[in-house]
Amino acid sequence: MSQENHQYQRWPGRHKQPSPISGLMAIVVTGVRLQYHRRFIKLLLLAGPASVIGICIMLYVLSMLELLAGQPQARELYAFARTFLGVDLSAVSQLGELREVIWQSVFAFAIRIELFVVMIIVARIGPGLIANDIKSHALTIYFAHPINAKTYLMGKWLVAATFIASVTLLPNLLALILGSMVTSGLPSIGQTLALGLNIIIAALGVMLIGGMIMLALSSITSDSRYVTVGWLAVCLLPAMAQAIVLENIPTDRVTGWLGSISLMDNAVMLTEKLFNLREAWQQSGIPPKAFADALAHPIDPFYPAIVLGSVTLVASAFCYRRILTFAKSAASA
Amino acid sequence: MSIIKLDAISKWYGEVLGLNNLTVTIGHGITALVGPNGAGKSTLMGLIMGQIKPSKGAIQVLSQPPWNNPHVLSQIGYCPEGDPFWMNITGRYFVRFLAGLSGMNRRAANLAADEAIERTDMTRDMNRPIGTYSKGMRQRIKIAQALVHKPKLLVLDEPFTGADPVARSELATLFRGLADQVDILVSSHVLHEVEGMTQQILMIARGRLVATGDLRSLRRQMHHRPHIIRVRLDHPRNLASALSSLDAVSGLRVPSPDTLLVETTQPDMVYDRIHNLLIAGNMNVREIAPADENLEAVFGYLTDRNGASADSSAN
Repeated sequence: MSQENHQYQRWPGRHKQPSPISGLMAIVVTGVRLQYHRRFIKLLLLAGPASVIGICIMLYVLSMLELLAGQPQARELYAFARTFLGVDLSAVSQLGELREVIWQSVFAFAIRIELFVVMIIVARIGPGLIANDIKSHALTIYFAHPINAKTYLMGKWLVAATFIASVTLLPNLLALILGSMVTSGLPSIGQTLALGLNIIIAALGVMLIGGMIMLALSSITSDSRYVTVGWLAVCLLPAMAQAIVLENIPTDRVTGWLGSISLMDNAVMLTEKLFNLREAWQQSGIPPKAFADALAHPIDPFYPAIVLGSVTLVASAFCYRRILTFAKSAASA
Repeated sequence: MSIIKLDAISKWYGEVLGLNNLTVTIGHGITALVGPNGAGKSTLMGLIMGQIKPSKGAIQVLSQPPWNNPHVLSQIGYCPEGDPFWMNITGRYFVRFLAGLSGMNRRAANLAADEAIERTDMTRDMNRPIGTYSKGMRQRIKIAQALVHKPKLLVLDEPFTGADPVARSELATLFRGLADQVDILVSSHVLHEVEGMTQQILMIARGRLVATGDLRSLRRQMHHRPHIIRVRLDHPRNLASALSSLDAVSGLRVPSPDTLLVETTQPDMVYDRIHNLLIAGNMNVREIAPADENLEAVFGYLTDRNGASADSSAN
């Protein structure tokens, strides 16, 4: 028998077709706000402004060198460039011709340092992104709303990506703009835009790879402490393994997969390939020591790209499957 | 008009049968989904919420299939059994966040959250972290999040679990109040929890529909189970002696000076007879009510009967 005999006053409101963007934004904004309130995260985010200041100082010093080339006042500035880039610019008569490669080197160097900040910041904000939702059975409530697993995954990735961007993409772009303002900038707008594009591509790559690997780890367990350990292991163990390989095998034989074990090193190699450092410095004839490893032999982007691409793809697929599984099991628990 | 319509729904988890050929129509008002643990209540709720795809059969919620249907989900408010909270956020922030998930912009979400919190009487505590809430308050804030997007259907999964008697009573009152504005499907494995809220019961056990309908109609399904009628009046022994000659009456007890318990297998006939006797004898009666129509008794009987019939058919 059916049950339709109640005196009922219906809800008079109208329901609009829900916007997936609003749901996505709710996940991102809430995720970012919850993380941002943590004191250690605020401290780590200071790496962003620090990066801007550091890059701008370097660009300013290098532009001063162009003006003071050959003059006695430039001695300390040459020493500064030697310290940070490992290159003796005093031997270069026309420093202006090297401006583009110097700027690219500065940003590549900055990204290399920022990768370590990314590793730490992702280790802090990432583990709980999905793990805490699994722990508190919040996936049921997410999927009781008009969002699907893809929107959820995208939202969580954007939370991680926001923090990664705030220590990579944003400071580098800001430094590029400020650097162009406080110095004479790159010779042409085209070169500035190309550098800006390289910065965006490199940062997007870091956001995608770091974010997706962390989300995959976070979807494995409901205990975020294990996720932190897993993340550090993923970042550090392959790097250690690669260091051991490089110690024991002659550098010229370290090719292909053997040189592509470390995710961090792969990211660095691809960045340096993206910024075209080797070719540019080779043309200058004074390869800087800061990039000695990278410049020692040609970078084959195939293996690093395959390794990082595969890891990111597998991580994304794995994470998506885990979310679907958890959502289904939570619904039928 | 039906709110939920299930047509021969079955759901398997591998070789385990979650729901078995369930056909039922649920209409307006409060409907209680009752069954023991493992009966298939959560599976049924998952199907209604569009989170689980049926293995067989068709399901319509608000006249649309719910699976992968955001439009249906935007019209359902769901209150899950557990505590799906981040304990360090405030109740208001939690409700506002879920309003955002429902597709509201920030301003609308703020307004709707405050309104929903007010309806659940949580305004005073809305700015406290959820971790400091009592069980009853957590249930209220969960209900607020389920109401925040003004749903047409409210699905409450075991809302009384862990709540103390006072909180249960308050929640039941809240649900009865909400029933004027929204249809409610409430699940419970403890029958007396839903008894005071609704007469509309949907009983499932072992993935099968055991019974549907109001308590009285369920009672009619139990032909040969004795039915006890409680009559509270000034001189119960007078009525007892008048009823003692009836064949339909199988037992009479006077547990207190103003109460008579009448045991019968033909309740309709005995109700009529009692009414006639009371009028004829001009007796001062204060209450005539079923004494054993609590859901626990009905459920136990029906599930046993269902299980027995299933076993016998299997043999």
